[in-house]
Amino acid sequence: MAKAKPLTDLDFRAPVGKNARIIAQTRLEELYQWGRFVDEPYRVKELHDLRIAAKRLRYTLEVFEDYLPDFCEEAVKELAQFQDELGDLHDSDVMIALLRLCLGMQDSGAEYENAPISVKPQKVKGRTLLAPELVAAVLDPEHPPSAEQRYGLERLLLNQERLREQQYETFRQHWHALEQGNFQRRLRESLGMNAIAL
Amino acid sequence: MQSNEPVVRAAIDIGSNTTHLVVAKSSREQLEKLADEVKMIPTGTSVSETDELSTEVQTAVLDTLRHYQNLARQHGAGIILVVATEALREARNGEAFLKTVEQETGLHVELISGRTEATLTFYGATMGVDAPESAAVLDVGGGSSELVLSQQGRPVWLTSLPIGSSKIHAQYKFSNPPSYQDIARAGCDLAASLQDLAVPFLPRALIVTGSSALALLRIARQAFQIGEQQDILTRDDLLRCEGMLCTLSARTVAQRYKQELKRAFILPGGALIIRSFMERLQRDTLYVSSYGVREGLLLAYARYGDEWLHHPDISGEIGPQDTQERASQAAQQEGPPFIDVGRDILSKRARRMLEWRDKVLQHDDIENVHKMRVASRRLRAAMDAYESCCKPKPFKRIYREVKDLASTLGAVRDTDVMIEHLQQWAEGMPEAECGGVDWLMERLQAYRQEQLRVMDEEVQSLEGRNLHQKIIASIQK
Repeated sequence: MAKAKPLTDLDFRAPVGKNARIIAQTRLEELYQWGRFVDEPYRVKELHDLRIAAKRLRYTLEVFEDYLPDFCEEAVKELAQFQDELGDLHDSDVMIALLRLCLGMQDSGAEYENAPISVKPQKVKGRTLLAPELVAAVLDPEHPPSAEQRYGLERLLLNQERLREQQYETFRQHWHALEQGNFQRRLRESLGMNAIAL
Repeated sequence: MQSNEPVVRAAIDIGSNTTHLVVAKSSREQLEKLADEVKMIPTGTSVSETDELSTEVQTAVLDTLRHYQNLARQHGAGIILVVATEALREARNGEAFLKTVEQETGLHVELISGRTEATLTFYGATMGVDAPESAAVLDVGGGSSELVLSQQGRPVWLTSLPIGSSKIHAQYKFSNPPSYQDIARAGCDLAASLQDLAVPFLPRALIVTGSSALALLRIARQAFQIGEQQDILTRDDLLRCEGMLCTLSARTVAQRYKQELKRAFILPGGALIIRSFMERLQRDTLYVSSYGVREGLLLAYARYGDEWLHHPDISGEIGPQDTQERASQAAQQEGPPFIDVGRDILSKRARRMLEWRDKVLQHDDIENVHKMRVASRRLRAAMDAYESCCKPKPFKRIYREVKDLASTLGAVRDTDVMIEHLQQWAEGMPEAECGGVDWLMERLQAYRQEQLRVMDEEVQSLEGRNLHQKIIASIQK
């Protein structure tokens, strides 16, 4: 998960409104840095980072809501909706990854190929989509799925993948609808940022 | 409040390019036009060249006003309202001339500010228009352009800019027809000026009024076969108009499209200004209104009577009035010192997170885990914002504690969400498929129990860890 960009140059004696805008500007830049992956449905990690960036921007606007322009309140509602949409997408990605592991599929990704089959959890640097302890608990060799249960898991995986497509499309359309409505530009202007160079 | 019976009144505005009369039966919301005349008198050009109204221009204005007086009386106008705008605002002898007008004709002329002009234009241009929730009205005159932004039918922001069709023509010395370089130079400067214009929001609709806009609409209708009933121009229509105006001489334009020659000369400037504003406001279409400041003036008088100029809806008390007030408003919005506010914010957010401790430990509602986790994220967002105000080592330690707490809450919460989703799937699945879901739920429940134990230890230990005090103590004095 991408870390928040540290803000080390703030003058803490400056008025709160001035610094609030600087912080919000930074979080907004982070959001659109990840926004370039919006049209790539299988960039699971980047879309997750986009979600985290949306959350950080939203919480920043809320922290300083008394000192930021009115449009920021409207922006918070849109960001909350993004959070929900990307949250649903993330939940599907997690479930899909878990089901694939359960079914022992080959295309679970490099970081999951190293997931432990043995019970003992491993320390993993940084954050992975599935916590190693979770993987270890689910893939307990003492409790493997029966053939009938495997069938059920396969059907579930199929349904989850279909749902994921719908969730992705919902989010993607929302994102582009906001862009067409000049959301980014309006937010930049309300925060006193320059127009975007296209 | 005035009676709402329609009354015949007249309104005249002495602008930078034209002196324009409207006689109408007016009520608070409607106008029925009885006469509409315009005379091109280049007051703006005179002022640009000499800072004064020339004798010739003064005579032309006076003669026109006398003619308009007669016309208004013929239509039964009881009151004739007269306003003067940009050129007379700038002319050194502007006020003296207006006194002469009063002496010679008995007409009192109000020299209105740009803001009042913008407000009157807004009310005139939006009369009878079903504008969306947010809209802009742009009036492009000879010497100035007024832009008003509105929300739900009320102006919320306005500005008057010294950019007008005659001014552009004079300043950039457009040739006849203007060359590509003329337009490019003026266009670049305009775009740069408008880029600095701090509009608070981008409107969903753009309504344009003024003689240039009307002339361009008429030309587009004739040249590009746009329907006679259509009052909408697209950006492409404007570009085509500009292209044509840069190809044909002013005389040809005047003859072919039945425009006054003086208007045809300055139309390229008007088209460029309108297009520049369209691009700044990111609109691809605009609606051309044939109503403007005169109609707004009639509506204002119908609503507020003799005190119309001083009524708050008209006197332009919308947004910042001047530098000092703007600065004062900005200062209020800027607020107290960042660090002082930070102590309060961090304290509140830490308390809000800790308030969930007991409820989480009760285990009677899985949503409590979610709420504590969200509160911890909100606290971390505030800590991210205030990192520069905190002592680095204590800050890092307490940040890590909050993050670890969030992780343990997250492990339980994420599992709860997965189990909930599986339960929803199971409801709709055929029985043959449920076995897999049940198996996975059982594994997840086992995992959840372990994570719940870890979370309980972490949350219980909060009592002795003085998280709140540590956060406040990490802030620099």
